Order: sequence, then structure tokens, then C-alpha cells
Amino acid sequence: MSYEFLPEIAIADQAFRASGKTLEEVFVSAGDAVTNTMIDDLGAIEPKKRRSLHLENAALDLLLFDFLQEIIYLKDSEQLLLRLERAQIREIHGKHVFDGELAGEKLDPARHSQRVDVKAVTLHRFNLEKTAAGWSATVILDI
Amino acid sequence: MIWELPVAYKEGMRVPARIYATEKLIEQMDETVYEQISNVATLPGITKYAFCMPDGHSGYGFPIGGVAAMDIENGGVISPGGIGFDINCGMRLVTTNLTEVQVRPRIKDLVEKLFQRVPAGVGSKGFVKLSRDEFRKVIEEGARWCVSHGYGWNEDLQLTEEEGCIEGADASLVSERAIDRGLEQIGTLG
Repeated sequence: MSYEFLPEIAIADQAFRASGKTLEEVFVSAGDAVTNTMIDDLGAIEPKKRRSLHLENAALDLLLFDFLQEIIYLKDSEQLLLRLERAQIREIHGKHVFDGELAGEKLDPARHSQRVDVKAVTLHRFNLEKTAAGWSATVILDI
Repeated sequence: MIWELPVAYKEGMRVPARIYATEKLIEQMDETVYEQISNVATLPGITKYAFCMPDGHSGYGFPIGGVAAMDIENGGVISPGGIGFDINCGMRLVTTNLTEVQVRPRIKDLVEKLFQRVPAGVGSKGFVKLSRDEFRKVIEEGARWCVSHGYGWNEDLQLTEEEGCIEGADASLVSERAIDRGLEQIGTLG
């Protein structure tokens, strides 16, 4: 479970590649990459608040897209910095279904050293694929 | 110099693509520029040429520096990629009565003051607190709402496109979730 930022892909925006042994792990990694784009130290986020998230999409890659957009939505609407603690992704009647538990806290400028604000996940070169080692996602964030 | 990609360059191109650049600039342009500007040339209603300016580099859909005119009578489309996703994002040209000699030694102070006064960054909040109904008025009235609430001057409107309010805005078409995101951010930059 990991991610790396790819400065050579997007000059004015932020690109990253996230990977994991399972689909759930790549969702955790990608979620952390989005939050790490905004905040220096993910370890500084204390799990004080929890949110459950249920998402459905016919396309698996767009399910990841929806999940990442949700992290940005919660940051903008409630100033919440959240990390995915547990997730389950299943296929039910031809739809991909995500159920996740997120934990984190309200942004505190004194403790959360800020980087750049993420406005949106883009579909530009958006990719989720199965690899020999598990799953890999490439994402460009609009900052 | 003008460099041209003919319609034969790619299937579906309706017009040729033209890139304005010196030889040195064209050598440095990444290949995505050719890919993207020739894609622009396939858009419905495009007139005469898909252009790319000397600053051309990889964008989303359009290259940065891409220019195209669409004929609405001829099936023309509005392309968000062509308009630009970061349009109006914190860029301002302000005329003052100050001279370079006065400003240059104090640029650092000026920038620090701007950072203090203009909320920006992750989770930043504006000083304007609005109800959802009032927020919808801002969406419809644009900069005119700001002037009528003391956040600007009439002269500002005269120097703004469409005098700061494009006719026909309908806030009922904006989703509740979009308003959730914008409500705290009004009055911030970015």
C-alpha cells in the first residue's frame, strides 16, 4: 500500500500513482495521496470524527473517482481531513459497491501544516488497473 | 513562424491546426501539443483553424495556449477545456498611482499583506457569512451583489466583462452539494 507523486506528468497540477495488493488498499493509498497533497503530515490527523461512506458505480475506475471526489467534498463543506480506515468493495448486480469507514478531524492550521488546496479530481489520464502485484491507479488532481 | 498540421494529419480533423512558434520553441514543445491541437481541430463547428500560441504545452483536452472559434450556426460547441479550468484564478491587473521606484523595495511587504488580507489555501474560509438563499443571489447577481453589499465600487463593474453579471444565470440549476462546497469558500481566493 503506497503512493508516489509524479511531478513530470502535470506541470501546474498534482499527479500521483497509488498502488496496493488489493482494490481496497489502492483506495486507501489514493485517498491518502489526495490528503497528503493538501497536508504535509498525515500522522498529524487524529481520528476524532468518523464518517461512513456508501458509493455505487457501474464502472470500477469511476468508483475510485467518486471516492476521491468525496474526500474533497468533505474537506470543502466541513473542513474535514479524513483517512480511509476500512473499506469493502463488492460487485452486486453488475454494479461496483464501495462501503468505507473514514476517520479524521477538522482542519487545524496550527497542527496541520498546509500544502496546496485540491479543487477536483480530473479524468485526464485517470487510470485504475490490475497489475502483477495487485492494483495501481494514476490520478491527476486539479489544484 | 507558423507551423501547420493539415487535415490529413488525423482522421476527423475538420480544419488544419496552426502552431505559432519559433524553431527553438517548436523543438521544445512536447508531443502532446500536436495530439491535443489536432483533437481541437475535430470539434464540431470549428472555423478555419485550430490555433496554438507560442506558450503551447500539455493541457486537459485543449493544449494550454490553444485557441479556437466555434460557429454556433454550424453545430459549434462550448468547450470547458478551451475556456480554461483555472480562468480568473487569482489573476488581477491593478492600476495604481505608484511608481516602480516606490514599489520595488517594498514588494515583500506588499505580498505579505496580500496573504494576510486574502484568505487562500486548504479549507480557507471567507469573512462573508451567507445563508444558502443569499448565496444563490450571489450566483445570479455576480459582482453586482458584491458592489451592492459594499465589497466593491461601481467603477469595478464598468471594467468587468458583462458588468460583472452574465444574463440568464439560474441558481436553481446549481446542486446542493456544490453550494455546500462554496458556502464557506466565498470571499477566498482560488
